[in-house]
Parts: sequence; structure tokens; C-alpha cells
Amino acid sequence: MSEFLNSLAASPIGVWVGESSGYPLLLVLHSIGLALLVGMLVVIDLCVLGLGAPAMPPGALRNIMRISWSGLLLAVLSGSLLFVVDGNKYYYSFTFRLKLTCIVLGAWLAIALSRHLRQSPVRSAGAAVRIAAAASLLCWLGAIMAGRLMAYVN
Amino acid sequence: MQYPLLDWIRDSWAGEFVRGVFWMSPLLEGLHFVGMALLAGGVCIVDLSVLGVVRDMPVKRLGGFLPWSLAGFGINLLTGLLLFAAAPAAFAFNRAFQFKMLCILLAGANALWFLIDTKRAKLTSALSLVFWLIVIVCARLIPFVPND
Repeated sequence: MSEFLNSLAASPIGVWVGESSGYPLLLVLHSIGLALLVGMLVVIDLCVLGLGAPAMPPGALRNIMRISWSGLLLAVLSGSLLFVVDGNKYYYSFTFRLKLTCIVLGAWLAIALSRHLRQSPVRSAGAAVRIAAAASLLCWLGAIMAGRLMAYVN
Repeated sequence: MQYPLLDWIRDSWAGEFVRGVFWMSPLLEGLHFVGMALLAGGVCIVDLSVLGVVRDMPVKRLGGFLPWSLAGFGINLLTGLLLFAAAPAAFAFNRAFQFKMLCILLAGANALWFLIDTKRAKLTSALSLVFWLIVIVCARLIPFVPND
């Protein structure tokens, strides 16, 4: 694995990203992606918890989820290229693995929540749904903090 | 060139506090991102609903999302001030930071304009998205732009 990741970093893509203006550009795209992904999902979670707007019409929910998933796609694509630059460091990094775990959990909760909300209105969300929304918020909080921490620790 | 105001900010209790605890800056930066997500979420929902990208959202409900945008902005204002105090010169002389501040002011002015004159809602919504997008871009570029 180590050798594979090293060869990735030394590949033309790895070199281009690492040594040119590709790196800040990818960071910008990564930030925009995460802003869309987390921003939209947080709004939905807050609505479920009764802290946001009292209604989330299915049509609006569909659009919002679509925007959120395009944010995820952007973040994953840019993140993959950023990963390539120093794969060895990231792959074995605790904070990176923590970040990915939070993202996977958060995404899974988002899918479950949106499926539920397609059938039942936000207002009638029961305890289980609210707990899921609260857990989702914690996952995204964790993902963001772990992501920031990556710049400081391994 | 010396700027006494920047020195005063740097030597204030806020600056000393943030620099004094080694995990304070990373924590504040993380919270700054959280605030950004809240702000971005609220702003996007409102602006994209007005622009028709998000459909079926009743306009009278849109007000319910604004408190969260304001909360996100508040978090970022507070964390931003503390982060600035830790190293004022590093930010004040940075072009990307200066442009970011300008765009925040423009976004605020744009929002005020909308409150006063709701006629050109689609224009103000589009401008709002553009301004906040530029803010995010500039913020990300701060470490890469050389200081003056």
C-alpha cells in the first residue's frame, strides 16, 4: 500500500496537484463542495429537530438533497486529487480516518432521513427521526473539526 | 511599516489568549468552518428558492432559515475576531483577506438593499450567492497569497 501511494504521489497527476496552482484550486473546490453538502444537510436536520422552518415540501427536499449530493461529489473528487499528493500521510492518519468515518456515517444518516422525509412531513417527526437528525449534525461537526485538525496533527 | 492599532490588537487579552492555548487556533478555525456551513446553508436555501432552483418552497417560510444564517455569521464574526487578534499583521496585509472582508461588506449591503427594496429579489439573491462564493474562495486562498 505504501509503495502504491508513493507511486501515486510521484505520478503526473500527483506532481501537478502538489506543485502547481492546482493545490489551492482543489482546496477551493473542496471547501465549496463541503459548504453545499453540509450546509444543506444541516438545514434539513434543524428542520427535523423543529428548530428551522416548520415545513419541508417534498419537491424542495428533492432539490435540496440533489444540491447536497453534488456538493458531496465535488468534495470527493477534489478530495481524491488532494489525497494523491501525500497518500501515505493521509492513509495512515488518525484524523483523516476519523473524518472519513464521520462522512460515511453522516451520508448514511442523510440517506435514511431523506427517505423518511419523502413519506412523512417534517412536523410529525418522531423521536427516532429526531435522534437521527441530531446524530447527523454531530457527524458533520466531527467531519469538519477532524478535517481542520488534519492540518495540525496526524 | 508599524501600525499601533494592529500591535494593540495583537497584544490584547484576546490575542494572548488564542496564542496561549496551543489547540485554540485549530478549534476556532474548525468552528469558523461550522459557522460557514450554517451561513452557507441558510443563504443557499433562501437564494436558491427565490431563484427557483429549489422548487416548492413557500416564500413565507423562507424567513425561518434566516436565524441560522445569522447564527453562522455570528459564530464566524466571533471566531474571526479571535483568530485575527492572534496574528493581526498576517491577515491585515493579506490581499485575499482584504478582498474577503470587502465581499462580506458587499454581501451585507446587498442584504440590506433587499430589506429596503424587495422588488429585485432575483437580482439580490443572485448577487448574494456570488458574494458569498467569492468570500469562500478568498478565505481558502489566504495562506497562498503573499502578504504585502
